[in-house]
Amino acid sequence: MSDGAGQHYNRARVKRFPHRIVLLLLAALPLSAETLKQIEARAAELKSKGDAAGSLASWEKAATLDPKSARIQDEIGFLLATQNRIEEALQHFERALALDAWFAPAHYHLGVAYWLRHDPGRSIPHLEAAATLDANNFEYRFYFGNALNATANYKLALAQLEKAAALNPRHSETWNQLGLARQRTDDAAGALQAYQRAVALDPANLDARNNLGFVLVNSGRADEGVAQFRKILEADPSSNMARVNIGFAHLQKAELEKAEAQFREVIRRDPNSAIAHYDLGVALKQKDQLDAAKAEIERALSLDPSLAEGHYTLGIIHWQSGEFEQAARHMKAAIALKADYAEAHFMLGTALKQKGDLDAAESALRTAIRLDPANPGPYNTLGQVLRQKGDIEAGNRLLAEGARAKQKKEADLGRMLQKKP
Amino acid sequence: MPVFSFDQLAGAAGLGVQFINVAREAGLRAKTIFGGEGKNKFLLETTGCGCAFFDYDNDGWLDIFLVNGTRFEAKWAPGQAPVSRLYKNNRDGTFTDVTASAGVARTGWGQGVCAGDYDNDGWDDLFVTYWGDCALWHNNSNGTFTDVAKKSGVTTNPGNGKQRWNTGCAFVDYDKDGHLDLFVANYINFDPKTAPLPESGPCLYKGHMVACGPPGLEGGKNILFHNNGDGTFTDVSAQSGILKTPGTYGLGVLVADFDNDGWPDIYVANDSTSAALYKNNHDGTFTDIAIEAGAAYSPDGKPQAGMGVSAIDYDGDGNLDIVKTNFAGDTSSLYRNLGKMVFDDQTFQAGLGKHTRFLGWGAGFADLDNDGWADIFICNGHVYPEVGETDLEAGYRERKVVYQNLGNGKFADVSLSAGPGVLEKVAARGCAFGDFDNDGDIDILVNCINDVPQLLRCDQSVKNNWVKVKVIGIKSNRSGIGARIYCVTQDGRRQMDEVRSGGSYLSQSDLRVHFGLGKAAAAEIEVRWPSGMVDRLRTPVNRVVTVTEGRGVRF
Repeated sequence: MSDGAGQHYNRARVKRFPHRIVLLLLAALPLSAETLKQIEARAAELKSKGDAAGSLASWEKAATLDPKSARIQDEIGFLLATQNRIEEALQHFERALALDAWFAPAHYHLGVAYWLRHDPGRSIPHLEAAATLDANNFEYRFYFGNALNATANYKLALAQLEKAAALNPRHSETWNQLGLARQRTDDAAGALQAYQRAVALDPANLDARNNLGFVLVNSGRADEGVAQFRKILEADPSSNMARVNIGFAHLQKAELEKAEAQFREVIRRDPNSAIAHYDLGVALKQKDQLDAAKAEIERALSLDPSLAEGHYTLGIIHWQSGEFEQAARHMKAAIALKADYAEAHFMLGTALKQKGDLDAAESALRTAIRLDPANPGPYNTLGQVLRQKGDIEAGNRLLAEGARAKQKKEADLGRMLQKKP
Repeated sequence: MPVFSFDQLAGAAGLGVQFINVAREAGLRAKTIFGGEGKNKFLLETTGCGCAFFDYDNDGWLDIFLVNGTRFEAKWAPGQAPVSRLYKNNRDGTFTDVTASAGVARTGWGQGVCAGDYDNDGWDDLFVTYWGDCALWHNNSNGTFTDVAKKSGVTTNPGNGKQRWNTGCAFVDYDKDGHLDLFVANYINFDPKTAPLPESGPCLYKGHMVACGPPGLEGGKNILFHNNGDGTFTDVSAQSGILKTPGTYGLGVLVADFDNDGWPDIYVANDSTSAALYKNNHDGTFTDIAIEAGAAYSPDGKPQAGMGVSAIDYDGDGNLDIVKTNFAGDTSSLYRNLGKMVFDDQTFQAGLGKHTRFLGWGAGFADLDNDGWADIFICNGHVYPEVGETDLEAGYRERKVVYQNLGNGKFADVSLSAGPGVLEKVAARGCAFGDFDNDGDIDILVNCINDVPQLLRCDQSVKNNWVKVKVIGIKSNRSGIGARIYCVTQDGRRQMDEVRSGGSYLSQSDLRVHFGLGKAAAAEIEVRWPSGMVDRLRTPVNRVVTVTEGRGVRF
């Protein structure tokens, strides 16, 4: 049975775009008329002295001299953005693009501005346009790939980040993001390689180190993973993220006492860490301390009511205790939070079957099969439900489906074992 | 103020029995050797072996047989290779190692053992399974045995250069012709030259590189031998339908009449896949109906790693139920027999759902406190020595679990109060149940991997009454295997069990059928023989009653 463990701090995050990148772009801008050139020089000087308002005023003056310059509109937009005047910045970037739809920096800046407004739907097309218009620009590739990762478009991100890494192979964060894209597209070995590269290029990249540790743990190299988390703690002793992940590594190795100790330490430091309470609950459950596990997971849910896995695991504990009504209630709560939670639908069906509600069980199990057709369990349970309802023929058909799904899984495993070291 | 349920209060009282390990004092000092002690390359090195309580010299006292294994890398000095051991009961709580004089010293990858008088000469014989050819030890009635496996046709070499990995076994008169046939479960078709190594997958368990399988490996095929009645057997696996089963990786074998039709059915605990329940079709054939019957999977339809098995009517409804041990991270399974070959998984409702840390092997229903309700005893120990003695789950060596039957369909975990023999951590595999000191309570023999065995003597403080029934078949097979025995006491409680070969994990328990009677002063016994004959008697308590088919009773 599954514990629903798996919460960790390995999630893709929304990245902020550092302004130094845009400053680099400014240095490459071409010049026009003599007067304009002087104004632009003054604008650049003020900017370099940190006088954003003065620089902005100069660019606005330049715009009156050359109102058709997309570049100047883009500069104005950029300076507005640095003063957190995003709405006005957006107007100038849009104006730049109205003047020159092929002006890549404006697409890039507009994409960034929309991103800062938490509007990935508008941001990503502009980031894509920038990367397309200037295909060899590392920054455009990198941030486009980053945005795709952050919006879970890992396959698309993979292509962009592979190219970005080729353009600038010494950029640690690119390898980190590439690792994430590979990890989420089921290339664990490739992910491991990318994270290792990221950490080698920048040992202070703790996000990459965390991801490296996590992949090591999940590929059965838990000790090496823990070593990475410990290095994070050396660099940042306050990192509860690292402590939780060390606990998770122990959990993966079924070193339950050690896992419990880690989670308790995190809770001592941060009593409101939902993930630590949840993982502690999982460790206690695996120690067969069901009442204590329940209490921890309930606490996690009170701190983070969106924790679907918490409801799932509570449901499993009630199920093990023969409390099918409560088990079904928690599985329903998990599904309410995550409608495509196949395991929760499956276990809801199982609990409903065991409490005798065969119609509802059938419905839940059919949903589980739709969501995860490769899992033999729901077929077998549904087969029994249908037999209990008197439909022996349909029940046997489902049981045969279950046997086929199981055989396929075993055949896949058999092929894997044929590999010789 | 805490409020306790009835079950909690009843469970807190405990069984009133203590299990004490007396193996050393009793003279059981030979170590069972089985694979590497710290690391293994192949699954063959992990599964260990069974043991038997049986009375080879017909003196009324249970003797002991402990199956032994070997090691791949070991180079044994002449005469030093580990061999299976036969211990004669000295009737004073001690045993004498008679392995050599009895002629049963054989080395190899021993697996399981089952007993039965296959030639109806009045002396129980032994079948011992191996990776490779098995042994059929014919009891010569003079304290010696002869391996007649080849002569009698029960060798299991498929003749293609491979060796079968035979595991659980049971003598069963499946066609009721009065001659005991033989069922042999098979695990995988194993050849160390081609089997995957831990590095192949790699095969990982909780971060440890371990022996691969069985999922992904080619499963073995179970065998049914028909007894020709002249000392020879014929392999009828194909024509009997035994080969038609979705499950493989067979381990524990359990024979019982699950549908009360008077014909023995066969249940097989399969590792990592659906269990098999071969229904006897009364015409020499069987049909595996485990999946349809609801006795193949966990309650959520998942295959489990079945190991040991036992049957009894734990709830007194007249149907034989099943308990099956499984892998760590899972519970044991309790299948309640609803009749007509329909089972309902009652693991969680009955209170067996709260232990998932242990990896179960030998198991038995046994009325440990003689209160008239069969309890459950489970031996544990991890498969992989690589897990060591860390806090990984319950470690490589594990304690046992004892569930007390509360008489209401539920069980209470009473392990912690059941004595030091239960709490001592060992890497247990097979276990057998029997009253070796004839004091009226059930003792337990445990074969431990790379360790000396345990002999858990049951010491009772509750002083409940009991009766044991030994049967001698005349028209039926001489061991009376398959005879169903009912025991009714004046309070109306009606128990039943059957004379059974094999069971638990690759082991043989006492062929005498034991009933706890609580405070009842007498019992009505009814023996329904495989031949169809019925013997009835009334007996005083606290004794062994010998019933000879159609010829009366000896107290």
